[in-house]
Amino acid sequence: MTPMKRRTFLAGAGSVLIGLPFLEEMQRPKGHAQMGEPPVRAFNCSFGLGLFPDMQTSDFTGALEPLAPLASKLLVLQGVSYRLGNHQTNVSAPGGGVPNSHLETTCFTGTRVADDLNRAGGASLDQALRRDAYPDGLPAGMLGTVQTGLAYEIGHNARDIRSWNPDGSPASRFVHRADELFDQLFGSFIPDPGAGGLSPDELRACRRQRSVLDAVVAQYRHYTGERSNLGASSRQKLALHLERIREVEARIFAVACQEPEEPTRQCVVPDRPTEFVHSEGLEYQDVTVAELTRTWRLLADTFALGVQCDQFRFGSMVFLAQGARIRLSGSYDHGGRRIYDFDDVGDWDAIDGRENKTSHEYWHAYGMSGDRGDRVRAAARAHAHFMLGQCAYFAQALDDPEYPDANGRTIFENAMVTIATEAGSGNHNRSTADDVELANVFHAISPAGGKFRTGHLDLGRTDAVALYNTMLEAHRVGELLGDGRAGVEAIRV
Amino acid sequence: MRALDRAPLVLLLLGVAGCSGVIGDKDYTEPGVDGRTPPVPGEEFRCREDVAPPPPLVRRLTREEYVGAIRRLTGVGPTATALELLPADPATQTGFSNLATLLNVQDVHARAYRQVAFETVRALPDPDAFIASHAACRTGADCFEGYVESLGLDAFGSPLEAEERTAFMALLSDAEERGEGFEEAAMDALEVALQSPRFLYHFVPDLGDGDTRPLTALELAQRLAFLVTGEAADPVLRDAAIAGELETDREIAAAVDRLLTLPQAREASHRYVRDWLDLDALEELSRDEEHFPEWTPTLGPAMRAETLAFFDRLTWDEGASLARLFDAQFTIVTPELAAHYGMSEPDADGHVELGDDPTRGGLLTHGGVLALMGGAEASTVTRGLAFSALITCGAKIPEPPATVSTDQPPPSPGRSRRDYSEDRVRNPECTGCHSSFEPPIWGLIRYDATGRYSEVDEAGNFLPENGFVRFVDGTEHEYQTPMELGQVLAEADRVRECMVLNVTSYAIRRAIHRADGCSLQQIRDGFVDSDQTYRDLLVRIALSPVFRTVGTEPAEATEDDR
Repeated sequence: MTPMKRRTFLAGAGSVLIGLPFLEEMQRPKGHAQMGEPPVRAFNCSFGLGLFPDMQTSDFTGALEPLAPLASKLLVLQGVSYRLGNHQTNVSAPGGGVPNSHLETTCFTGTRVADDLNRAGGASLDQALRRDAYPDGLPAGMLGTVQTGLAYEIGHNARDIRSWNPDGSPASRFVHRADELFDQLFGSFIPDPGAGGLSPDELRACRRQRSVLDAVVAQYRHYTGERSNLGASSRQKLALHLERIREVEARIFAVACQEPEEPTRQCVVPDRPTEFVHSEGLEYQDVTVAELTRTWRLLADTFALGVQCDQFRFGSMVFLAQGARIRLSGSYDHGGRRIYDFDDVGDWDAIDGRENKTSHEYWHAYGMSGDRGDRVRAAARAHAHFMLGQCAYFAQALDDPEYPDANGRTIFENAMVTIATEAGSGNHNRSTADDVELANVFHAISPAGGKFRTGHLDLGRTDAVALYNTMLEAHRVGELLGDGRAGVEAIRV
Repeated sequence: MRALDRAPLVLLLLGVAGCSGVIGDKDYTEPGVDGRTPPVPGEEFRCREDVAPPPPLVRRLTREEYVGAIRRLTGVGPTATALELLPADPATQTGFSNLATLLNVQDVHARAYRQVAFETVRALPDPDAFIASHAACRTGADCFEGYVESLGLDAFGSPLEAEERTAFMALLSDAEERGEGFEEAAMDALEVALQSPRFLYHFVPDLGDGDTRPLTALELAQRLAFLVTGEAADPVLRDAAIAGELETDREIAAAVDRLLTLPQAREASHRYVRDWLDLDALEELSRDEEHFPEWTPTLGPAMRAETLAFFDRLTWDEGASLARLFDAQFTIVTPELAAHYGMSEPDADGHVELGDDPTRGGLLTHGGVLALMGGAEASTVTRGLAFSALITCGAKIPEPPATVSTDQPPPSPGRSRRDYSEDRVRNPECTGCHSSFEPPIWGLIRYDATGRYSEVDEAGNFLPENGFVRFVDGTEHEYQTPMELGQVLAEADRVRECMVLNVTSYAIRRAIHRADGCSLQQIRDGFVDSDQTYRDLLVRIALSPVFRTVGTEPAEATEDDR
């Protein structure tokens, strides 16, 4: 594997200052990436609200332009429905009733909302694959799942979590800050003790830690095993705890105690960023293009670096969930040209004299007529372009040819990468079947090692769960999501 | 109220069919916080034998409980690592933060538990004394087994299971292989105990056939201790359980009374009140300088202290009825907070007698409660929703139809905040829900987002403060002033029921379920027949079937079974 270049990391950081380049080579555990077969991995990227049907072009123009560099490696899907996500269960079809906007947990799960935004209706796509591919847990030293991005931090899991356990609980916590993400991925790196190995004291300390860990794990195994005196729900809860213990402890032992049976790979990690822009949980609403871009890219680069270093194989990134309620300002350029000069406050002042509205409201007013409507639509399209551009940046970071897998393909080409939005059009004030937020939810997927075709497909009104299950079946996953429906064979090669 | 301070303002415009979650022919009733359909408000106390209880679930200790459990077992207070690494427990808009379904474990927890256990063992002030408190000897496997049995009983509240014993015993041979001995293994055992499932979780064996079973005496002791003190059972309670002295209603009530004398009990009651009203959010409450130039960072903590001191005075000092929370005509404040409210100077204890002041009285006029309920905008919608959820356990309010703008216009000359609220209550399309939750808090409309009282809003409009409260049973009570509002609430049966629902949910660590009706009825009726004190409520809960039994679940259940 080619060592990570510092400039790559800096490029993502934009103008953010990071520490001096004390590059440190680490002995890292890895799975079978050097055995010729790419590891099974899955990553999600989603952004707030959605794309109107007229934005979902088939030629990577307009709002889809940011995905153009990945055109030959993507399958762009129209017509995916989140109608099963509506917790109002008697809404039997798109447009049938008053849809509810709390669809975030349906994104990547395809299942209905379970409760008041703290749990999902079941496992997410990536976690279903993870559990099938690694039934005995991930290789030692590896994090289970990583989730990060820019989202409101208001205590509702649905606002930011996109990777869910089968019981609907979060597969991992959501990390809001770039420095915290860096620490999560690389903070437990302990310097190589050198050719001389561990000192007697270090060795004794390691053996003591192992002894303590074994005793702890033995108890969790008892309460989650066949002789447990607990019912299924309780056992599952403790089993998830045991997974977390194994992940954390394995990282420490694999590095600190130099377990000889672990294969290693070279990975160069830059210093921890010493200065950064963080989201503060996006408590603010007034934000600039530069601030959002800089913060997102630092998170995305760190995330991608973790993947490239095989620190984790499953996770999600979120850009502006909860309907993207921001007031954006500043110039937005893409591909060397000006896309839009954002001024949400000024735009809304001109549209209806209400300057306190956020970008979210463009989606509700998308059907407005006249000049004011034109202004709304122009702003909405620019916002969509900008948001999709962030997931495109993330996807391209995983498509870096300098970090090929053992089969010569990029991580993006080998892994199951899914880009989706939290809703369809966002226009949930309409009731026509094809233009409500439950329908036409934008999705794009990577080839996943040649399992999926590329290009564009309109799936009509295919429930997301069927799409996701088809993707899982292509990976020979036995335990599918939701009601188990699949059959979207058109996506497969 | 939780998180409402930062939530965007939402105008709820709902249909005329009443506010039952039904609009037109659609039923929009939402699943509860545990993903299961909750009882319809007003029918929680209906005794239904035909409804199976929800499956049991192990419950992780909250951060505070965990820190307290370590202190109780080892005498070591919270380490810096514990406070730094352990994240706050999740809060929800519709439930308490101690609910089992919400308390998950992420990598940060696993890392923190490991590190805290490691540090706690090394922070023991006298390891020898700790070992001696659990072991009479220091040689050999038998001696070590005695140590781990004693440690396990103290840490977990009941004897070790065979598999647990085996895991602990392996520590001695491991230590010997490293060239170490009993003392090192004993410390390792403590480190293990602090990370064990039965230390980090509150649970009892729940594998069965789906029916409920009575708790064993030791299990009941543990649950009682957590109810009253927020900690595991102490040796006195454990011994009583082992001696068969925790079986009758009289014995259980006596145990509650003894636990209430422990200092942890007051702290545990604070924990409930803080969780109920989300008071900890006041620690860092901020208000923008432009609109609230008088705001200071010390006011939020002072408001938090006010409500807790008020609760203390009524509950712990006076043994008053919980109804007095709503109409007691005094408060306890700092001089700064008194000045902020425009009150007279408090006495040395912070006490201010409110006498017949119609504008203050009861906790709903506390600045912190007002600030949290209405958010930075002092929204009548947000305050009303919080009032309905927390005080009257009103109808579940569905999401607003998406066709409606979610902007709330600010008051302007001639159009007051009250006018906008009355518009929504009168509008035939809105009144179904809005009449249930906005008029009750018109009595609080003169209080701004910092709890200051003014007869006019920011646009100079006069604000009437009369209104009415309509409970889920259809009864309606008018009031003219905040004081009268407090009196209405203090007398209302539904408010008493809501207290029962809230405290019971907190006590059993899960959302109220339709199967709980018989127990809730028993708790409510017993509570109503008592002096209605905090102690009375705890005793009634402790004696109820839902508290004294555990539901069971087969080892392998499908989602459909739940």
